[in-house]
Amino acid sequence: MGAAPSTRDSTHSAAPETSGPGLAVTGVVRRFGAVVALGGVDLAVRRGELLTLLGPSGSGKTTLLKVIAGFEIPDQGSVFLGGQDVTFAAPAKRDIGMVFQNYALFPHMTIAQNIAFPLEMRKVSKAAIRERVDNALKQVDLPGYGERLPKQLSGGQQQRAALARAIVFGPSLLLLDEPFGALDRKLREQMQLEVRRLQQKLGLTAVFVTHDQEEALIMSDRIAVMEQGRIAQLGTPQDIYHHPANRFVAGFMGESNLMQARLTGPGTASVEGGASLRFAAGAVGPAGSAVGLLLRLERPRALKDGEAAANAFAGSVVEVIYLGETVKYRIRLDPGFEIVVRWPYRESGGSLKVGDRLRVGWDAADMQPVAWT
Amino acid sequence: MTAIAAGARSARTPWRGWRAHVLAALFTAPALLFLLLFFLWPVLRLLSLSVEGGSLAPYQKALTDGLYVQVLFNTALIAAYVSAVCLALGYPVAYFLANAREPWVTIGIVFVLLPFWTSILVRTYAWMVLLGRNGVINRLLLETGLIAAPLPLLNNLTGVLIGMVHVLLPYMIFPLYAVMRRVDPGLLSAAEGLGAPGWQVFRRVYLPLTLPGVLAGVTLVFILSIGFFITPALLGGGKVIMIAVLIESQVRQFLAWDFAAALSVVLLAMTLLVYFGLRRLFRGDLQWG
Amino acid sequence: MSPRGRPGLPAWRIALYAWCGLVFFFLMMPLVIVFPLSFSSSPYLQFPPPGWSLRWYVAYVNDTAWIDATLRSVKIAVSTTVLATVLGTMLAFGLVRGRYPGKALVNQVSLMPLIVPGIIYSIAAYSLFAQVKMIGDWRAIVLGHAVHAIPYVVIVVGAALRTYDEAYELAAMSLGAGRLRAIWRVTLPQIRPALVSAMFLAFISSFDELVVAMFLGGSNMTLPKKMFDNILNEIDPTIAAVSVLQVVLVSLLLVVVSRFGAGAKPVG
Repeated sequence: MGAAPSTRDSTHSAAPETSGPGLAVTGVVRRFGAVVALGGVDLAVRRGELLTLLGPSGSGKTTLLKVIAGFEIPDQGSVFLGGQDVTFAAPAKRDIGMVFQNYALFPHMTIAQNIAFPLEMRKVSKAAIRERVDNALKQVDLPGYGERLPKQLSGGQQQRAALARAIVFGPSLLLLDEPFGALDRKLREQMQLEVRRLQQKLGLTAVFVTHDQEEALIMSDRIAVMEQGRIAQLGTPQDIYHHPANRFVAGFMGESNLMQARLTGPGTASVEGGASLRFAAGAVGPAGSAVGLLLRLERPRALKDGEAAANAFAGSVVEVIYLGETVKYRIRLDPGFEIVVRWPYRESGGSLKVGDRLRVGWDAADMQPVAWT
Repeated sequence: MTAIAAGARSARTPWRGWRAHVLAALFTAPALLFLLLFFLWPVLRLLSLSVEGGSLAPYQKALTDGLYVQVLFNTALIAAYVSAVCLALGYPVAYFLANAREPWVTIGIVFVLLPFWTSILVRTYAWMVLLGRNGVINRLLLETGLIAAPLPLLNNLTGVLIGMVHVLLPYMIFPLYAVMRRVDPGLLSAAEGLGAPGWQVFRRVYLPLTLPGVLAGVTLVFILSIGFFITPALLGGGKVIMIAVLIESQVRQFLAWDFAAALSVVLLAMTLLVYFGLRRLFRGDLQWG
Repeated sequence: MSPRGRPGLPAWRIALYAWCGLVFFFLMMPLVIVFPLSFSSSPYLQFPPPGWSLRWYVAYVNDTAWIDATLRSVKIAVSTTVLATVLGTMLAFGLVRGRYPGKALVNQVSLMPLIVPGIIYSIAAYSLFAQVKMIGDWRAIVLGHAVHAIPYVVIVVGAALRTYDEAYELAAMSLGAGRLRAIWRVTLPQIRPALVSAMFLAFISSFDELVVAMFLGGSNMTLPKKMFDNILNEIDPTIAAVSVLQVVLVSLLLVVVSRFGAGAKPVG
């Protein structure tokens, strides 16, 4: 492409903004009969940001997406797009691009006709449509595929075409509803990175829905973890992974050791069996109150003879699970509680067997207190 | 626009969700009005004629006069014959269609669909040619010396039954075929594997599984039979009077609207009784479509 | 024993095939028999025909009564198809997509014309249209035929809509189309096979219908009424020629429907 100044629609080439109003959802409630699908959700997505709604099925993330898209009207609360109230606006009037779970490419239209559809609806001229469709196809790396029908494309290609259709009209918001669910693992990882790259390049404000926490960690600027129609925690991937707000979030964000403990002082607590554990300090409650202690599987290390750690225990291996590059060990510690660790195969040598004795330890900072409610 | 939307919001009514339902109701309205005006209303008006005189005399006539009781009884009897013959002919054919290999399935279905979609009048005419005293069948039988005198096949009950079975057989085959196609062949192998002999596999496994189709087919054929008009009128030669033929002649020849209306009520009652009776017996889904 | 070492066809299978063969023969015989009859040179029902000719086709084409009846039936069937397809498709949308009180009742009403015997409906419609002086008017027959065709359309289109993934329509709406435009541009093209089948059912149900047309037609005969009268009175092989033309027409339509439609089975 030449570097000559271009006169075409500038929506796409606008520099990504990282502040200002993108999407705001305030106090949204949606009930279906007696079931509360959304129980008062507040959410703000900054311009140019990709925010992920993460949660198990039935947590309300899809309903929230439908409210944002205009397919559902909330019983209470409002939706603002770019500062405008769109709570009751028809989906067609919202200027939102959406990628559906199974792509929803119109099977009776070619890829080019599919991508042209939103432009046609906006009464863009024929010539401009052709140019913008070609452009969109290039952006998603599908040049020359315009005349094919959706069923003649592979899953990944359909995915890209659906993405092109959703962004070709320069929407002020992009919604992605579990778009990678139908792809195999390898393709999924590739598409995740591609979508993320494109979103950042075009500076698109995006809301992404998934139940896969790994996907959420890879793709997001911020993640909203949803539980039973509410946002359980909103934060950066690092925040959420390392400092889960509660037991539910901790459990949902990947495998970990989560132990119920009783506070005994600042930064100390005792677990089942009486062992005292030290964790990253933080005011979590008065002595004697219940607390959850979160320890990620990869944090504990095998201690050499004489090596010390804030938490150090001897124990024996009770179970070995090979995962290829890493190995999981379930270890019963002598004070009477169990932890699971995951160590690189090379490091542990793959040599530990059930019944082997060892010492494990971890720092106070490796252990996060989590509200036990 | 923003201001208006913000103002409307204070009402807090989900009016667009509601509007979607209004839209659905508007989609429904034209056809519904059409059916109310051109179907339900005239039918109800006709039925009401039967009691218009303020007396139940037409009903008394229909239900006690030996002549008319005989017609009602004949109608039900013919419908029962037709249903039974259709089931006997159709069950094996449906089994064949559901289990045969291509191209036999397609060929078989064409052999059922083609006559099905051919005008009843064409078929009735063809049967008259085939069944008449000098018809194709009698000629063939006489010439081969199998019979000495022509068989009476037309203008009697035999002719009516043959014609009706021909028209209604597809209505038996389609629901049976639909049900049989969903029967998992693994179940039959499993039953055989458990040591059940063929007859027992059929009686204990296949027949119960296909019973819904049997009920649907029998209901459909019976209901359509009792209202039959063209075939008995043409193939019965005036000797086989079914209720629909009676109703027609009451209106056409005698202008006896009240009596025709009473007969209509009886016919409709019989129809609905069979329809809902069998539906209840079988808890719901008749395979209409 | 067959060469593969497995037992040959069991007796019950042979019996099954023989039985099916007989039934198929029974079903097809009337359709086949009209072909030689229509090419007969004899004015009487003779089988096999003493000689061959096209005279009955010529007689059909030259008889204005037959041609009038045919054209009238085509006009009525086409109008019925349009009316029933439009109304029935809208009703199917309403029934599948809508949520409103009384929907179950509406559903019952829409299927009732299939259950109420044709003779009852015919005399009911006769008394209605006699009152508004529409007996003999072809449009009255269209209305009566549409009553019977609408349930077919509702069943076929409704079944297609029930399995249709509404996400396509939502996608169209999110891309800027209103509800109606989304239905027109995205949903209807995708359920086209069902629409083709529904139109076929509507067309044939009208084109072959006798009883309603007999009561509402007055002296303006449709093709089935003309055939009915011929069979009753002056039976000559012209009707065989007409029958052959009808069998050929239905065969052609069936080919079209199996190519572009969703099947031609009214039930099951």
